[in-house]
Amino acid sequence: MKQYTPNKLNEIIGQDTSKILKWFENPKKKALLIHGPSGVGKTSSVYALAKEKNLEILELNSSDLRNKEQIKNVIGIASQQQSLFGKNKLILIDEVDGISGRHDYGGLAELNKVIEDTKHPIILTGNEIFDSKFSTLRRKCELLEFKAVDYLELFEFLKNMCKENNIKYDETFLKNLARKNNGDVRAALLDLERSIEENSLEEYGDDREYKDNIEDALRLVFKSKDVNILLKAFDKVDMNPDEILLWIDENISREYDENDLIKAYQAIAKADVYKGRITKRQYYRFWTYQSAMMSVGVGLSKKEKQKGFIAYKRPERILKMWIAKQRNAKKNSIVEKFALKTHISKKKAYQEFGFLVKFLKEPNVKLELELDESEEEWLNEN
Amino acid sequence: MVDSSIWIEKHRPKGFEEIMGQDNIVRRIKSFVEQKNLPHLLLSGPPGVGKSTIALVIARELFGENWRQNFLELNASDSRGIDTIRNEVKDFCRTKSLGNVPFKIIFLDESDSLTREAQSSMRRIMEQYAHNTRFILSCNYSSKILDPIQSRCTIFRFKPLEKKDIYKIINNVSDEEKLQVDDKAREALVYISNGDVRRLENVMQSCSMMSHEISEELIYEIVSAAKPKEIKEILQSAVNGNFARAKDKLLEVMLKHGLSGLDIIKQIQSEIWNLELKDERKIELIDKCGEVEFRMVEGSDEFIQMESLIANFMKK
Repeated sequence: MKQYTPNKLNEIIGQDTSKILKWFENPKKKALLIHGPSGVGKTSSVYALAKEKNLEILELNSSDLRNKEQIKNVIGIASQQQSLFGKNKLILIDEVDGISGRHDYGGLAELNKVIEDTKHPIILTGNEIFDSKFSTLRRKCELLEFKAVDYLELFEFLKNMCKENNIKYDETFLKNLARKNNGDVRAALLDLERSIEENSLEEYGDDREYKDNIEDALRLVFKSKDVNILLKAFDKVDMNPDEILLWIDENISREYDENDLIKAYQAIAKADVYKGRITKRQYYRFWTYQSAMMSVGVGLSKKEKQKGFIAYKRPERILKMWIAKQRNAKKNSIVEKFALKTHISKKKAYQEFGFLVKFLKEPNVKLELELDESEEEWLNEN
Repeated sequence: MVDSSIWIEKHRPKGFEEIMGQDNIVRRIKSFVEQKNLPHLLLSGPPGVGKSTIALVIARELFGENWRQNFLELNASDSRGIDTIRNEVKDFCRTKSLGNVPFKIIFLDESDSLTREAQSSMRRIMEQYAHNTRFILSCNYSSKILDPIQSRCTIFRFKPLEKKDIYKIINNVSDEEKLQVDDKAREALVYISNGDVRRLENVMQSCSMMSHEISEELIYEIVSAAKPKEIKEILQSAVNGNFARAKDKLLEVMLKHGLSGLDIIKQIQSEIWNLELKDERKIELIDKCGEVEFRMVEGSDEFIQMESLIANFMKK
């Protein structure tokens, strides 16, 4: 959708682009680092700036080799020369976080040097720039964050786009499309373009949707309050419900707090109750209720939608349980021996363990339980 | 036989006359044993009141020296599935009893943790092998035993031991182990054990490792060391609105101490009264505890349920 590339900074939606102008006209540092998720207008705004100010852009992006030599030869030299056509120059280092440590050896260090010496303004863009390897770079640049575009704003934008081009559209469809793309304008435009080509502005079934990963689905549930969206949120996620529940559980406290969180946990816990009932009764219709509580229940627990992009984490509980199990293996075998000797279950012995541990160290007891060396060792350490 | 060095075994009653506090039950069971005619038994009651002890005494009295060959002890909470019942129980039932008693005994301890399927498969077995096998089932809650099984058993309900019986046991143990236990310490032991003799003797043995003069302080020291202190921290974090921390801590405590949700909720429930909250909030939280405990008993995921409970502590 090249034709929709913005020509002016104020055509960029959802971002405060005046800050770019401010930097350009009155730079405190020679370089500006624009960071944020993909498709929100980082590169587009640099080109818009160039058009507005009639600048010649010299770009080095991730398709180019960006090692020490290359940066020195291309950018380093250009940053010292005047432009051929009398235009002012703007140097763009796109996707700076894509500079590879191995293939682009020495590239970052050279870049830092170039920024120091440059006679022309430099703009850098990147998604994830908070890695420690960028710390020097961050110091040398003014930082500007671009946020994921709010879906309503994106929706309005898509709507106008359709109107201007005399394309018939369905509001719900566009709204879904906007929401679906999590503030990624480029992706939304691509989707729209494709739907126009396929003449299917009412139907929503593109490839992007099949790629639904759990993070996207979670984001929908945590950010939306639209029942139709919520209901379908996990449909295309290739993961069993138990695992989805773990993902929700792991990440919900990153998005919700206070009363929202309390309510959401009520919903999750209820979903879990239905899950238990399915197992117990082998009655699978309960899945409907489990699913509704997990998606709509959680989604509607929030009073207001939270803006902003939050990275989600893989559930750690299973891993932690596994590690604990390894660590507790010795304790387990001691407990087992004790349980067998005293006619109680392992479970009970475990519960009572705090009352036992003192006298388990007694030599006669150790002997009677036939504890081996490693078990004795465990006892001495604990 | 050499005495065990573990007190709960060493001081376990070896004959009917030594069993404390369950006179009616002992009298009736003793007469079954004397006639060498035993129905299936269901022994129900709180922990540490003598259910397993009675089962073991029955076996010794009936089979004498060879009791172990005629007695299969299974702990249902460790092997609670239908496979255990089908395999181990059936294999044992198929062979004839040794000696002059016409049947063998299967003791299924903690049978309330058997799954429903396992319990159903048992009813058939109980009838099929009635000619050569008797079942003794023990449980904390007889409500969790299927009706058809209950109806096949003679049911005995054990009561928690009364104070005077606990005092007697404290005396016996401290005499035999040459311990000095003063009056206040005795009271503390009665309170701590809450009618559970197993707990009582474990605590006494732990204390004896520290000193032969057992004081109230020593007892409470041992007992509080046995309880994870983090529970309070978890609740406090939640009350302060720091859910993430409360949640991490909860998982850590459960994993580190190998505690189940049910173990923890007991402590949470008693800790609620100590929190600085309005009384109305406290009773609300107690109610939530009850609901969550119910759900866990019914087989819900203990982490998710516990987290939902903890979340409630944040409510302003």
